[in-house]
Amino acid sequence: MQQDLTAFCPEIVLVAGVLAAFVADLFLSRKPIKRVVVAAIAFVTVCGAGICLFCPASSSGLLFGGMVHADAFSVYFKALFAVAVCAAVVFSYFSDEVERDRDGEYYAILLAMTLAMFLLSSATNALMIFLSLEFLSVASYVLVAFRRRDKRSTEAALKYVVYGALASGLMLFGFSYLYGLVGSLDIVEIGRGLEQIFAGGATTSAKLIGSVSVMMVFAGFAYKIAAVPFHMWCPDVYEGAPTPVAAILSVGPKAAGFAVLIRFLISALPAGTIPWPAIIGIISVATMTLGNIAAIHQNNIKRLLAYSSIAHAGYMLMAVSAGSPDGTSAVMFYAAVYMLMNLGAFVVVMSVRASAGGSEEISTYDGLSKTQPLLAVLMTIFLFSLVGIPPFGGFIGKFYLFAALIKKAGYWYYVIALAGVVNSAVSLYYYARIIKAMFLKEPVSGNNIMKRAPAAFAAIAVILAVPVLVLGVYWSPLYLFAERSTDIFK
Amino acid sequence: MTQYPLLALIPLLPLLGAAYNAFVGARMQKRFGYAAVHVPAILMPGISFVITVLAFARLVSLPHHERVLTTTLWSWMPVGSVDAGVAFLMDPLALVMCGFITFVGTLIHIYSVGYMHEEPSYWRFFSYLNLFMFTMLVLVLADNFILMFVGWEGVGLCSYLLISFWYKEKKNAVAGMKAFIVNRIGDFGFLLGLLLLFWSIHGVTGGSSVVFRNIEEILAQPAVREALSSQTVLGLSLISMIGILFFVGAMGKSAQIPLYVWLPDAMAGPTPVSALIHAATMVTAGVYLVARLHFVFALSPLVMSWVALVGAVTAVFAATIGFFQHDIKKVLAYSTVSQLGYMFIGVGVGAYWVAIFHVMTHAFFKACLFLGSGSVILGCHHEQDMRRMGGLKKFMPVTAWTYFIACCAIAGFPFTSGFFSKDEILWKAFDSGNLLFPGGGLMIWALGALGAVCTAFYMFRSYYMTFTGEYRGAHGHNGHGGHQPHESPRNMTHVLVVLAAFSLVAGFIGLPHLWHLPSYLHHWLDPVFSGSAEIIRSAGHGSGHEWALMIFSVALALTGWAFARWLYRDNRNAAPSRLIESKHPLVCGIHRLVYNKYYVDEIYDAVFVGFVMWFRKICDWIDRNIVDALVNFAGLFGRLVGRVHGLTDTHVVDGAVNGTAWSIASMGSALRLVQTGNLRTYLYIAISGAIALVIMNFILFG
Amino acid sequence: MNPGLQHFLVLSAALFACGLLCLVTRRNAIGLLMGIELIINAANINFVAFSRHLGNDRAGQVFALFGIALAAVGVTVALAIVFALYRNFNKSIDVDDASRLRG
Repeated sequence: MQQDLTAFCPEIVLVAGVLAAFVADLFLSRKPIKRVVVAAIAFVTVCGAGICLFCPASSSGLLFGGMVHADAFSVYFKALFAVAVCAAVVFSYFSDEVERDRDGEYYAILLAMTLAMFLLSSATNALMIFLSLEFLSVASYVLVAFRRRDKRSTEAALKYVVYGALASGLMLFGFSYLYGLVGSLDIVEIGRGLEQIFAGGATTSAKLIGSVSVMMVFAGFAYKIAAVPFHMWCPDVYEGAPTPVAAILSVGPKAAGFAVLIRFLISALPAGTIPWPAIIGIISVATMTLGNIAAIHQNNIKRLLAYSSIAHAGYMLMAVSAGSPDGTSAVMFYAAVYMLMNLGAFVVVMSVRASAGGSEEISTYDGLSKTQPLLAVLMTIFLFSLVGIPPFGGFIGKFYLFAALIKKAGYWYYVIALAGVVNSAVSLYYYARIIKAMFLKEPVSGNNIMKRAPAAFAAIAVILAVPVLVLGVYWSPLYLFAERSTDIFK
Repeated sequence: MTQYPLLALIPLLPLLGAAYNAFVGARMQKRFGYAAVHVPAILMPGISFVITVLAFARLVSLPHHERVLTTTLWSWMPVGSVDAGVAFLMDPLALVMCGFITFVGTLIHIYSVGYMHEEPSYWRFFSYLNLFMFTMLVLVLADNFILMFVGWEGVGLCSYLLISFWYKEKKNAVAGMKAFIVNRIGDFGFLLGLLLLFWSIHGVTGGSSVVFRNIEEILAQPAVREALSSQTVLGLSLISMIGILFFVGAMGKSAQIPLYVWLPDAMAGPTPVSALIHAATMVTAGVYLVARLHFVFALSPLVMSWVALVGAVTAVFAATIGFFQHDIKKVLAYSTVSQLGYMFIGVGVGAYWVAIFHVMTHAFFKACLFLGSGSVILGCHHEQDMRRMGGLKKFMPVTAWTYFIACCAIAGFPFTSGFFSKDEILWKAFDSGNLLFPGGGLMIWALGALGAVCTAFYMFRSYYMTFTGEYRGAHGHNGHGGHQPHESPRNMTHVLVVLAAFSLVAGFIGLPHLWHLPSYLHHWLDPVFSGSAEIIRSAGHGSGHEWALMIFSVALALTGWAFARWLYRDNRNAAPSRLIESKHPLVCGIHRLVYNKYYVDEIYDAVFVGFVMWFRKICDWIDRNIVDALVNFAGLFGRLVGRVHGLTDTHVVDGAVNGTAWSIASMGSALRLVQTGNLRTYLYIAISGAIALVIMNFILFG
Repeated sequence: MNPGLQHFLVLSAALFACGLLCLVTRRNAIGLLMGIELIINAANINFVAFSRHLGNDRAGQVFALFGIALAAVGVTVALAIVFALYRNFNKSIDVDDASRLRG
């Protein structure tokens, strides 16, 4: 157990950044330069945190009495969050949905959310998990409610708050029983304790309580990653929140949720306790199917992307249910690729929304290939990558997800993989609908003359599209990075 | 194995040229004219050729059995035993292929400047040409199956793009599609062969590889050879099955029976394309594949006999079709199919170096012939029918002479390049000891010889019809104003001269051993094929036989030439036209059969295309009558779910699910309505879900 | 009668059930928040009870403290959002009125 804090450097940088952002907002309020300064502080902080991750001085180890374990697994996810939030700062700056006079707080809370994600991905104690999960959720609630005068934003935030509070409450209750059963809050200790309970023939009531409490803890995690049956907040929140917030919500907290879920499953539920691969498998099939089927009839692009992100959580859960190092590295690889393509899709959505005067209907995409060809091409790249068509990175990611399942070579794993394949095929429909609208329909001519959205959106989308294309051909560095980071299996 | 990083530039430079022309070519063409498009496009393969020469120098400096240059760009798919990397390998075989591909390719790029000078999509043409060079070089230089397959598919794609270059005319687009689809059938065989090879080796040794050199080493072990020869699949030994599947791939790409039908139709593309792709380079990819996989093919006499037989039959079959064609490019297309047959005879009997020799010489003289025909077509203002040509020797002397020289080469006149390569193939066929059936070598040789005399005949027929006699073409009455045929510009004729020169002298690197003169090419390619050398046996015929065969070949060539000269020179002889107009039923029938290419296309259309159409009708019936019944049932099911939900909460169901839409769409609608927008509904479902999870866990898992 | 562990557990389970019921049946937004408070406090009671049962283990007590603090945080934010709800939905805090986002 380490006593020095060099491994905690990134988080410290983030804390300093949060404080600096609040202070700058306070001192520079009502000055036009405030926007640039606070955004710059946020950007520099996240970049600094990202760089701190790879400093050789940062050695991994348990910190704070076993609460936080800054190991290679968490470093991978932290790098992912850093990249995502960097992009988020930039596109939030150019977005017109973040109210210009109050956005100092926006960046500060975004940094706080990043800090929470960093903590969540390295939490190894039930208290720390709950604390960082709540932290993350609260920061997200505020960001979703950011447009105070917008009814949809408020409604989305209300649903998010109440739903999230219910899920956290369930998880807390579950943790309380686990604590009572095992006597410790550390997840490795919980694992050992559960093993003893389930193997050693304790009373059936103890086993019952054990499984019930684990299910309740699952409820908390499933809410964060928007898995069935705890997904219902997701479409409303993504639709109502400001689009930059929806973008970062769809990748950051989701990946963080997966990180903590994997850590929990592997450390706290060793083999012989709860048959979680089967349960996760069932949840994943339900999630994929619901996400894909519900997305078919959507007319609002953000709602469609919300259901799509539910479906992708289902695909990632498939590989989690495999429960092997291959499955874990597949999930990590897919999380990175998914981050790139989903953020890219949202950036294009932001751009089209800005030029269509705030409309989020899919009909605004008609004829986009003629009016804004670059955006149309970029959107096509992101959508095809989301379907999983070669030669884009999404295909490689899906390939690894399926490979992890097939390698387990069990009957039910094949069934889950088959469901995954069928779902991917179904998903082509609703993604292709957008592409069809862009390329084969005539542009909408009407009163909303297309004003030019800031070119920065196109630039960010290009920056995100390049790795998606490259990863379709040359992906081994990223996969090796993911593979080396699955040391939690030791 | 020596590292040679410059190797990577050989395919990458044309790729850069293609990208340049694809992205900014149109704008450059408008602003700076045609030179901005073709100068980079010509430079790129040119530089590739220079690097090839440098690589040659490097290889020569290495000892004889270590002549291998490699470079690895990155490790592409490190998945299990599949060790495919983006890695290039240049051994003597690859060098020969690269050499003439880049050389002939650059020349054809120069030629295209003249040929396509009126084309508005100039930039697109050169972009596609460079892209083709890239994929062909990747195919030849790949050191593993997966990368080679990328190149394999890539050349198929480029062939499609270039055949349908003038896609606005429907027949060009259809020809492109036909080429692509027939090629696809071959690709299927390639993939199956690859999978079977990979998994067979995995089954025998527990590990496997897709890198050629590794597979060669694995297959050199007697235990592996034994296992692969003894296990059978559908009555054939594993190694034979693998060989046949790879040969199917080669058949598709190199236009052998039965997958040759796309090549004559591919003449719809511009003539430089026909020269480059369908004469010199892409169609030889199949031969290259068989040569590369010599260690697989040599292990199975059955496959070798099959390859040689198919090659021989194709050689004769295509040659006969050439008798009556009157489109000059179609004559050359069938001639290509026929010559490819010879190359497959070469690899079939195990004379790999000879087949590659013929590939190389064929590249020169066939490119010269095609480019010459292009010059004729351009000079006669896009006239391709030989019956409307004639007497062009006085209008375009350079073209006429180079065409004549190339005809001599393809016919196999003494001391031309074609003589040395074709003669060597026929001798090796005669002398082959590996064929399954006794007297096989003799039969193959007989077919080859028959093809040779036919080749000489129809090639010189095309020469005499086109260049001698009186000009029969339109004399500019329809508003063109006094258009005589004219010689082509210098950039085209210079290329013709260079190619004709090579058609004459290229043969001297492979002189027959009979003459006690060194055969440089055989010595050069020896280390590549040494692994199979001990398997390939000769039938032990003496040098006397070889002399006899050589003289007989020359006699055949001269016979064919004389016959053609007698029938077609200056078009004075009325025998050909009398034959065509004859009313005698047998003559008429044979003429019609051969003229219509033995109705093969029509047979394919009726059998295969017809089958697919019939199958489509069956699927449609099933869809309408059986699937719809299921759909109605599913709609009912969706309605049931909605009712249950309506019991506990608000009005979710009304009118939503009605079962006429197809099942997934109606499920989608139902799901949309589950998402009511009411927060309490969400909470209720969440809690129910949690309880359901607990109950499910309890019931299913105790 | 001496309250043993099981009494506390029953109490917290009852509180939990009340909280769930509150969440599900109330239309008033503040009522929902009360339900959330009930659930979290039920868990807190659990933690303290188990901590006492396991021999005054600090971890449980600390968790209960954190639970109180986090409940406060959560409710604060939720109340701020309820304010926004009140403002935007015509002075109503009925959660059924906020049902525009659907499908």
